[in-house]
Amino acid sequence: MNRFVLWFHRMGSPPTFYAFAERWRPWFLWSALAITAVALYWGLARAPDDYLQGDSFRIIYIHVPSAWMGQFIFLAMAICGFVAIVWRIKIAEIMGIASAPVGAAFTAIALATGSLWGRPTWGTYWVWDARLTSTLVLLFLYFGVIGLYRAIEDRRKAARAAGLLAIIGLVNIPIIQYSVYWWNTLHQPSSIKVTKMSSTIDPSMLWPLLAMAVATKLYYAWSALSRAQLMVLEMESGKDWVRELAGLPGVASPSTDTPREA
Amino acid sequence: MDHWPFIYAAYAVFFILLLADAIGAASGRRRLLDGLRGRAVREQRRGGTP
Repeated sequence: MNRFVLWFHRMGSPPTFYAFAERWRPWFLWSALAITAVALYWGLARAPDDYLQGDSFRIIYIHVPSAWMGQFIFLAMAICGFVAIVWRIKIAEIMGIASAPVGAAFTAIALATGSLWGRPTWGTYWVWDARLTSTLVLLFLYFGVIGLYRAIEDRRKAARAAGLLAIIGLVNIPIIQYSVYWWNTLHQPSSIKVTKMSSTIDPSMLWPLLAMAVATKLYYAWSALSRAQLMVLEMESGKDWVRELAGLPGVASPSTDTPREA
Repeated sequence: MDHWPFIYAAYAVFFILLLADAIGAASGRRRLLDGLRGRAVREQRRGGTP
C-alpha cells in the first residue's frame, strides 16, 4: 500500500490522530509565531513605501494572507465533509468542523482589514462590490456551518450535515476568485497568479507577503488540530486510552467502551 | 492623509481576532481532562470498582 494512503488510514484512528496532533501542534505554533515576527518586521520596517498608496499598502501583509486562508480553509472543510460523507471517517468529520472557527476568524479579518485599507485608498470603508459581497457571503457560510453543527444533537450527524453545507457553499469560492474579472469592481484584480507563478509585486514587498501566507497556514494547522484534539477527547471520553490520558492508568470497567452521554 | 492609524487598527484587528481564536482553541482541554478524572473517581466510589 502507498505510504501516504497507509498514513491516511492510520490517522483515522482517534488515539493515533491525537498523538500526531500532540506531537506536531507546538511545532506549528512556534514556527507560525517566528515566521510572523520576521515577516512583519520585514513588511512594516524594511519594505519600501508604495509609490501610489504610500504606507497603507502595508495592510497587505495581513489582509491578503487572511483572505487566502478564508477560502483555503473553506475548501479544506468541503474536502473533509466529502470524506466524512462518503467514507464515514470520524477524524474527517472532526477536522472539518474544527476548521470552521479559524476560517471564520480569517474571513472576518480579511473583511475588516480590507475595509480599513479601503478608507485611505478608495475613500470609503465599504462598497457592495462583487469581491467584498461574495467574501461577506463566505463569512455567513462559515456562521451557517457552525450554527448547523450546533443545532443537531447527534455530533456525528451534525458534522456530516455541516460538511454537506460546506460542499454546497464551495460554489462561492470561484465566485470570490473571479468576481474581479466577471464584474466591474472597485477591488483590484489579483496581483499574484498562483497558476502562472507570476506576480506584479516587487520582490522586496512580495517575500514578506509569502512568508505571512506560510505563517497563517501553520497557525491554521495549530488551531484546527487543537480544537480537533478536544473534540476527539469528548467523543472518545469513555475509552481506555482517554482514561489513561486523564491520569487513570489501568482503569478498566464494564462501561469502558460505553460512549459518553451527549 | 496619515495612513498609520488605519495600519495600526488593521493590525490590532488581526491580532485580537487571532488571539480570541487561539484562546478558544487552546482552552477547555485541561477542564475536560479534569472532568474525566472527576467522573472516574465518582464511578469508583459509587461502584466499588472503577
